[in-house]
Amino acid sequence: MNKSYLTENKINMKKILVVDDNTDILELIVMIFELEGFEVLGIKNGLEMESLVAAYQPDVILLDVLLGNVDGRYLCHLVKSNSKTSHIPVIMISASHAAKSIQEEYCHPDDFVSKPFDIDDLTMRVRKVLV
Amino acid sequence: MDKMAKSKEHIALEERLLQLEVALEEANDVIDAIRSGEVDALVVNGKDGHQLFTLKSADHTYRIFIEQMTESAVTLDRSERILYCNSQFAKLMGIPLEKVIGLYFLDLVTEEDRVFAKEVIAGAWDVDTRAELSFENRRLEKIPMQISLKALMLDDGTSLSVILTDLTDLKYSQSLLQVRNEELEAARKATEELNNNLEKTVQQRTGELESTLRDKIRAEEVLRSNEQRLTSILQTMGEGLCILDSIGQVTFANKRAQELFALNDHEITSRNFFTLQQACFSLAGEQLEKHQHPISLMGKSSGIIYDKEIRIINARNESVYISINASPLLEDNHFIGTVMTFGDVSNRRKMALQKDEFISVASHEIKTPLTSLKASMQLLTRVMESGQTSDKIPVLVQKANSNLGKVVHLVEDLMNVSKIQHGPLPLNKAMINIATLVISCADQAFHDTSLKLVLEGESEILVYADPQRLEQVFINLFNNAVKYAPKSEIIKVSVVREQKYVEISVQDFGKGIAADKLPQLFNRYYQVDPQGKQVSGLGLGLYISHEIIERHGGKLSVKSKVNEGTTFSFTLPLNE
Repeated sequence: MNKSYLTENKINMKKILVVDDNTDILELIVMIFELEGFEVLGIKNGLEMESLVAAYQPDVILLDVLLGNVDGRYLCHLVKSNSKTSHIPVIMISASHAAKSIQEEYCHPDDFVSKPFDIDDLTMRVRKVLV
Repeated sequence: MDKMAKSKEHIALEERLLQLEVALEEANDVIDAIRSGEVDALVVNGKDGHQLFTLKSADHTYRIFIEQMTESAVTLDRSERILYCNSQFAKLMGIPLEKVIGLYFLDLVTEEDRVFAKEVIAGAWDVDTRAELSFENRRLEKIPMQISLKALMLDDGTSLSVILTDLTDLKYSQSLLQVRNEELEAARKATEELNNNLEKTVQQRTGELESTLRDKIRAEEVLRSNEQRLTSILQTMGEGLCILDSIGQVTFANKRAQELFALNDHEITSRNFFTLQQACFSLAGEQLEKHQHPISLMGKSSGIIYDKEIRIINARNESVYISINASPLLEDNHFIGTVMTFGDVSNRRKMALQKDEFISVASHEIKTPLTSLKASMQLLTRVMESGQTSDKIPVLVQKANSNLGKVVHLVEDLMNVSKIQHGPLPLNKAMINIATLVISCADQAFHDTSLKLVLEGESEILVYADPQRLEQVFINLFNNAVKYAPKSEIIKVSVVREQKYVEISVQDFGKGIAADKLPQLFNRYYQVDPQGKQVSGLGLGLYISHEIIERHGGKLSVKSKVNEGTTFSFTLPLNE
């Protein structure tokens, strides 16, 4: 139902899965990482994430906290508690929550970015978790 | 021989002498008798037989009486000479009795009274008279006398009888009496004065007592009425009030306190403050132990506590936020208890939570377009710095613009709320065609959606209203339709002219709103589903719209049925 923002298939490209229910933000994050040379898949519906993680096998997940129909922290928890996916770095993005409070939650993301973010900072953090 | 010698003549002479001697003796006796007053009348043998002579002094009984009486008695002749007086008078005048006779009566009167005395005497010949006169005796003593004068018709003409009563004693008595009287009077006056003073003092004291009593009664009345007033204030005040004794037991609780704790007067009295509620919690949600309760924290000397907010579970199992104020009651620096007032601040807490929630939502809502705006601008910069022409540039510019518009819109909403809260919303009215406005707003709102406007009713109705504010209302209602009824397909707007107003309805055929949520729909900060956050926005739209319509003199209302759709209707007055 939601559009996927798949870039051209590029071998050896790192794959990023972006989950945000705001169309503009989603499109912009996809654009940022495409311009950086990543393969990016963006989805609006958080409920599709779990199956997509298994199918897409992203190298990093950028996950919004407030997704409307599901809590991003819960999705993070699912990824991190599944041994098949727990290795995938998750960076959470939120406009409402302080980094500390998110990190102290049960979901344990690898990093956290506040909205409105700086695109240099965001790409730097993604690269950092990919090292 | 001598005997022989005595002649018959001699014997006759001797007999005659004897007879004469007897007669002389008799005459002397008579005279003596007359003198001594024993004779009233004489029977004299004369040639013409016996003759009765009444003596002047035949009234000797009276004379004796007069002689013996204590008053003085005097008889005057026409020339005011004393014909007779009793010895009492002579004695009083200090003159021998025989010498008084023949004296001028007036010579015995004091010089001062003499003229008056003369008048009195002159008058007395005709009329019985009484007068008071002062006499002077030979001892030069002045003797006050009362004289009583009466003309007497005697054999030898008229004389004046004067009875004199010595008034010396009387006067003395009188003067004594007067002195006594004066003394008495003085005493009486003194007594009276004393009495008066006493009376005054008594009156004064009584007055003082009365006024003291009155003051006291008044003070008591004031006290009682103050107490009643205080009690009625305490009973009717909106805040709960409990008075605790030194060990924290309730000795008084007003009605509000009883209501808040859901305990009646009997149940609440003697209860310890900590058992007034089933449980209490800090605002952070931690259950409080007795020693953590604000009343315990107040301690016995640390003074007043103010607005300490806790949540309690009362006897009816209701959760209530209360704000506690308490002050220790001290008597001679000894802690004797606590007065504790508290209000139900559940609404305040709810408002505070709503406000917090609103601020959090508002900041989230503003950060969302700001995130896009910032990212768009930074990407634009990157693209342009790379020197390449990119098809992404117009997309980024469009995104920047639309998100900037969203930020501006949100800020405007916030400012509208602020304006509404600080006074009536200013209106800039003009004549506007409703149908035209509806179509233009629908174009804006339904652009890029699958929703279609169906306009029914009259198309030529003009209203006098603020076009920008009215546009805000339509845009808000249409945006709500987009957000909450995206599958509605059509949005029906009907414009119906009534007598004095026009009624405009905006109907969607979406999932509807639950009946229990309808009453809160026009509240500030309210969003039907804030937790789910399936839609964006501050939840201010309907609140602002409601205010705009009310400012125009109309009413905004809502009807909804779950799974059937929602209709917002508002009225606007015509013929302004």
